[in-house]
Amino acid sequence: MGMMHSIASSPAIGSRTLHFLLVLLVSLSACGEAAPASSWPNAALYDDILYVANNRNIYALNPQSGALSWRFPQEGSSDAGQFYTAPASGEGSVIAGSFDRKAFAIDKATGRTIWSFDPTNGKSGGAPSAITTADGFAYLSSGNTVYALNIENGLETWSFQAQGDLWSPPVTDAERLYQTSMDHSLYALDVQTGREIWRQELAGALPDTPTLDDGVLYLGAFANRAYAIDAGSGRVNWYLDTEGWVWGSPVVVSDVAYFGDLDGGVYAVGAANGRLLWKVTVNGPVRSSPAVVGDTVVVNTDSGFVYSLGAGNGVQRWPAVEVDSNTAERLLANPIVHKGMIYVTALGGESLVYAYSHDTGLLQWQFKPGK
Amino acid sequence: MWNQIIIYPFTNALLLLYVWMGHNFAIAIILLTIIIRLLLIPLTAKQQKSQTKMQEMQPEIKRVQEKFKGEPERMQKELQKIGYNPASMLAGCLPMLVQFPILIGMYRSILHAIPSTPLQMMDLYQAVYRSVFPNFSELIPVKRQLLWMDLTQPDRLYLPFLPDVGIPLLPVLVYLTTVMQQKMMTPPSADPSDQSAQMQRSMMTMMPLMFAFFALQFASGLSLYFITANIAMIAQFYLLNREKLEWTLLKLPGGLGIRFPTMAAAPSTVRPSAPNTSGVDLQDGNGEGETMSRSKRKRLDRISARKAKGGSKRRRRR
Repeated sequence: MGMMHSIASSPAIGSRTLHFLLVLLVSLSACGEAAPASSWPNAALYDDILYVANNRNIYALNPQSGALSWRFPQEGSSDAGQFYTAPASGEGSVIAGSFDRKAFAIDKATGRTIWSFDPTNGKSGGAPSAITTADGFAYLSSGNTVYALNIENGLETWSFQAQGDLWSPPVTDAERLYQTSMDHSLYALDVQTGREIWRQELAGALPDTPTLDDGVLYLGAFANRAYAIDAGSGRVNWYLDTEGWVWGSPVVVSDVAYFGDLDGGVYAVGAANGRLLWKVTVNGPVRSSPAVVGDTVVVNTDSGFVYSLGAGNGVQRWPAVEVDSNTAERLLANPIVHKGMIYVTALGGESLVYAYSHDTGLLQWQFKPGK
Repeated sequence: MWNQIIIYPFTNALLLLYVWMGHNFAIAIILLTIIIRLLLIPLTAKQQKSQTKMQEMQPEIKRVQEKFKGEPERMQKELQKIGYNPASMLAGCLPMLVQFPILIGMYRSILHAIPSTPLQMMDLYQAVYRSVFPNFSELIPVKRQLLWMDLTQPDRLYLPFLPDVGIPLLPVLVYLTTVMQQKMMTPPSADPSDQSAQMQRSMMTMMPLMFAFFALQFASGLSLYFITANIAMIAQFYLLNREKLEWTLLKLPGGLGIRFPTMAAAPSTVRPSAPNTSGVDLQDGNGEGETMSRSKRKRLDRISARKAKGGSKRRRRR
């Protein structure tokens, strides 16, 4: 700073330097990450509509053609915030959490706001805010608090405060809600009241929603480790040490848990005992959870590649596809497989969504959001 | 490349200081800013020297430019004679250009090292040296709270009796320290109507406002960096230029005023000690455009006053 002003004080150094300084200041402001992306685009597919959250908008797309049905907020609407987490499905609505800690229920047919929820009381500060829905409730995890909201009107029923930030929504069964936290803890809460039932402290920060399968919670940790936890007691059934951080939770299909790590490892382990069945290394960090359909495991990487691996042995079914070799696009969200198509959302390129054939890996369509 | 050379080393240095300082990120930011400022002293001192020289030559340059308005070749020659060489002056800016990537790198690495968003966490995972931090996982989440501040959020202080009004304390401090630093380092112009003086004035108004605006918008960790960098720069400038500074009343917004060291007014040039062959007034013989400080000028003024007094006495005796 001192340096900048001291040039200005030197009369011999003219307007060119000042222009340079202004350009520098603008570039500094770009470094500040107030406007730039805080996270990556995510998608969810409900009732044959693909909902994509990215930065200022949520898009509803036709999954067969990529045609845009609606965009939220609609043109002329006031700014609703930044959206990165996948919207959840309500009754006739999709519900999305924004990076400024708010929640919006959006009409599935029209893209108009049904209700909104703002727990911030107008105070500033952004945080990943994610939502899941179950049994007439929307659960918003934002900052270090999980809020139970009535899905019809957005009114708060209860809230629970964890010690650390919550980066993903909880998973629920009929009686409990399981919430991971960056404070290294997994919380089990009463779904009716939000009361803490048990808390299990694990080796690292827990960023993703656990997978609940047959009374067992499967999750990864920022500690080079994947866990299986008994949902009833919170006891650790098993854990497996990995090369890198496990961010995306394991996906469990036919008693096998599949997951990736940030050092590019893709693992298949026995869901019951954590025994390693196979491991392959792909080109780039695997942030997301894989999508497992039939005998294939679809994995995408931070370096912009989509892989289709055999579920039994990890062998590639078709050569890895790079979404765009000209731009440094990053694939950080979970891939979605639906009706013979793979959908991936990309950060950093012109196109936001790419749709590939599940059988061949050939590109079917791509969606570029308008300005 | 930029990441590997600048951002990653700074990010790791910040994390190392964070560990050494008992997991206090605010102190880590302050310490690294001071360390970097200390390392940059040779460059900033050279830049300040060149800048001061330039400032001191201004009256002479202007005089030459006015005198030889219609004769560009002659003007060039005369400017060279007084020691004005645009190339060497630009070379004086070189240290400043070297500092830019370092300071911007520092700025970026603060954002990298306290990840409050998933994307920042992905970037931090790539940036950390595993050999330095074998138990890196244990550092996550990085503690980002200090007193009322969340270092990853824009600073707002909520007082118990004003729960709904966030006071941007750090942005105000960014503004004040920037104003103080500018006032200290910028000598008042000899000719306030001149274009460069006007530009200087507008920069002095704009710059603190712009940085205060950044501080309002961005993580308060950056505000802490701005404030520390300003204070370090003020201290450095004071130590290197003590003899050129005067304690004056510095008026701050809101009717406040403090006594603060500021640069003395741009000094006039010394009369030539060798025969002047250039046809330009107030020119020294070696073409260096030698100047003197205010205190030296006062001394000389006293001597000439004494001489004048003596001379008149002598004349009266005759």
